[in-house]
Amino acid sequence: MTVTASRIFEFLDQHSTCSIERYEIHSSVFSTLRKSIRAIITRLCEGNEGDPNVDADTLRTLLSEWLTVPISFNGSLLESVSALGDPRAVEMKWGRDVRTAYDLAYRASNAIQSEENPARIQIREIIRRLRKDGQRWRIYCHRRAAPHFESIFLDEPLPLDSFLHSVRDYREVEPFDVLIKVGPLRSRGWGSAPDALLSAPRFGTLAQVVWSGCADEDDFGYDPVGAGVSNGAGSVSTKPGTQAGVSAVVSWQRNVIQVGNIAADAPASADLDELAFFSQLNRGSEIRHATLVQIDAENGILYPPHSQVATFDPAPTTEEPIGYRIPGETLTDGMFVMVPILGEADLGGLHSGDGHYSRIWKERLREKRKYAPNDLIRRLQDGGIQLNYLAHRVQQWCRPASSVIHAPQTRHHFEILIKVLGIDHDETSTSRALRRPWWEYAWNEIARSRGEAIQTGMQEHEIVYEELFGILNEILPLVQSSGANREFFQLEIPTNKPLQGVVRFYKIRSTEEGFLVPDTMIKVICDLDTIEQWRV
Amino acid sequence: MAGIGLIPSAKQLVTSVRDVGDDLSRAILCSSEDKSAAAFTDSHRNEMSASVNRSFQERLVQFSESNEPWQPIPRWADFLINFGFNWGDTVPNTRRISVISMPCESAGAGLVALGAMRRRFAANGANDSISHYQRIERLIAKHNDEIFLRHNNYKGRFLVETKDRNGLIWVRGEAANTSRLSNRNKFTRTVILPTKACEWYFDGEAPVQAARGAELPHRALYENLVVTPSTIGSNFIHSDSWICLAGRAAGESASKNIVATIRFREQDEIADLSQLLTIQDWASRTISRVNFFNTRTSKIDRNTGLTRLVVADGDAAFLKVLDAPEFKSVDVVGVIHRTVARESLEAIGVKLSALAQWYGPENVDHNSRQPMGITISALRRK
Repeated sequence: MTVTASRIFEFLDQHSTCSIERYEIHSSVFSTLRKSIRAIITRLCEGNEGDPNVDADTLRTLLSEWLTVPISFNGSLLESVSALGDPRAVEMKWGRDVRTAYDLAYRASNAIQSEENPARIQIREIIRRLRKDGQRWRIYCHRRAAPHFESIFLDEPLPLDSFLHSVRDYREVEPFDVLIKVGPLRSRGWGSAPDALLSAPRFGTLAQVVWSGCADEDDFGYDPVGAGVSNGAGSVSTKPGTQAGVSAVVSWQRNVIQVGNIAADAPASADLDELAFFSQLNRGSEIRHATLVQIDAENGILYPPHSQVATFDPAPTTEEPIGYRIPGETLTDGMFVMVPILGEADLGGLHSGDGHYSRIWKERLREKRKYAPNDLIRRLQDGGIQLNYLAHRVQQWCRPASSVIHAPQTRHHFEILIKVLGIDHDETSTSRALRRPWWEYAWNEIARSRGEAIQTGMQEHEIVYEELFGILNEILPLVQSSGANREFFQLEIPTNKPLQGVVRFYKIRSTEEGFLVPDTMIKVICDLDTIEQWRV
Repeated sequence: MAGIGLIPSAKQLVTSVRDVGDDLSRAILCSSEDKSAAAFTDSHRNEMSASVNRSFQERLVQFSESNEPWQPIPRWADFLINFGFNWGDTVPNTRRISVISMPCESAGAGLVALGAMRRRFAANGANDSISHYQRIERLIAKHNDEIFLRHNNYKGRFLVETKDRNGLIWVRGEAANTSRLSNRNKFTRTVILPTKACEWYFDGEAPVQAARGAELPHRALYENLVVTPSTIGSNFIHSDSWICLAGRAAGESASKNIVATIRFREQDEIADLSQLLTIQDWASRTISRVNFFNTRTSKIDRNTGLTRLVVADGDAAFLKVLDAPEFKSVDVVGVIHRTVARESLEAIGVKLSALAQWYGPENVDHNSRQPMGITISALRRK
């Protein structure tokens, strides 16, 4: 506990009324872009009920990011829209309506490049004013949004402690003057923030920069006690006096400031709330809620609510260093997620040494990317990989294997990649073991590195984990010394034990709720770029 | 008076003390200390009644959190101690449940437990000694050969064997055949007399009664935490299982660490909250006035069946306790904080909504002004 309760109560005694300065940003060009993208997403989803729609998910992710992160209006917007394909292909694939919306979006994303994002302008003004006044301020944003804020202040860098990224960060921060937040107040998904921002403020003023049309969640600031048992759910802290029970809560004064150009022929309320709209879209029954456990700068693992995760707690005072913990409850930052790669976790006879196959296909991929990058991208797209920022992703896949093998996230995309690279078994090979396509062996190698093997093991052999915990407790001093000051390590299970293999330990950087994830992506290591699309 | 915590009313307490006193008169007094305690109780009851109308004195107890400078007990901490103190006695078949929602992490659950504990210090017969003999008797019916007894003076462990026709309980020494035993436990069998039952205690638990001259320390601190009513001496030499602290889901050490950040000082005497709560594994081998329920392992350190109030530290502990069979009918006070994820908050909200089918709203009786940022909900079984 870094801040004392006495300090918090002292602050609240002095701040029984806090304020929200809500800067509502308007931009006619951006409104056009939003509207067009929304129309495309709606149409794509209508045509694919029940099926995951990669294109719709990609666009949904993009628009959600634009609405909650102060991005630069640069060429990336145009690139994102263009990623759908050329106009004729779009029309052929999805029809005239989508083509019309596509053309509008294309023109808007082209035109918008000449403007600076008004949200960035507003943030710059707010922070300059705060700096001038010598006030203490923080920015609440997702970890991956921080670089966008930093890019606003290239000449006058933001202090390292400017950002709060999680409810834990917020829990530990000393009271300050102003909190800056981009996007609506939501408890889950894009732009989400802890309810405690309103129900337990540690600042006097919330400077909220939000695009027009994006509404705060009705019950943001939820307090289960203040919500009342007698009258069920309801808005709490933002509407003083509505709660049952006995409360002494902070009241909020809201001041809305309209910023930017409002089209003369459009009412201010013309923009819709896309974030709320996306939350309501039917995502199919194979999707489920999940909590993200981020294990390094690029990767995370998604767990269903209340999952029992095999973990190691390096804290010297812990009573049970090795054991199951629940993400967000008993599993917290600084602990390690354990990923066993066990000999018993059979992969259908497709075992390979780590990095054996990946070295081959990565080398081929690097060659192709070096000598014919455009051709490579075109062939991958023609093959069926319709991913946003594909060139960037290919660059990621070229990176050497570390704690995981960087590769396409889905089996189908990987199959396309290997076919484009033209890799198969040596035709002269007579090995009876090699009776499946080459890419399947390589894919299993990737799957193992992502922990998919233990997922199977967990479902089928819970007792294996009990055995594993026992072994690790026997070598606990070794586990503890290996984990000291390290983000990742792995240990080989001693040879005289009933289990064989290695256990990988990934240090947890953060945990975050608010994802709707396909079943197939649960409990496997996944890159954060891919995970972003499942944020609700 | 701002910042100086005072507990204003003890009316309810006096009523309850009379009730407990009546119970005590019917109980088996199992030691000479109990007899003197009973005598003490009779004389003390009048004294305590008189103390209700005594004018309040400014407390001398000072407070420090996380090694910050000493200060008068802050209003938030005083409020929570007061809340625990005023929770009052439990009434059969009218279970009460309350949630205190805090704006930050704190040692709040420990403070509520301390307040409730302080109340018990002032109640006649507020200890386990009265029912201790009956608890030993129950072992016979269970034919339990895994629960052992120990004696304050004899070495080794003992198993309850039988109850003879005269109603005497016989125990057998676990290692009676071992030649290395000291002279004092060479016998294989011995009897537990009702009047001497408090010299026996359950293996792994705190003793029911402190050894002579080894009463609980910090008595002045407890007494000055709440000026009236006065404490009763015999309670400082007997364990009590009425109150249970349910620790954090993160484990017992996390629970201990957070309460240890709070310290109290009265003149030269300083004790942290983990010491004042007298949880048996947190202190040296002495009596214990608060049980501990490990939320992580679902184990209670002293399952006497006498617990009537559980104070749960955090949302996970609160939910666990409500569903725990050993606490099915006891009062529960959950101290949660709001700097957690929405899912955790909703889990509490859903539980409270579900309870609303069988529980009605309960008036929260706390006499001091509620600190800004604390919200409270209380329910009573319909």
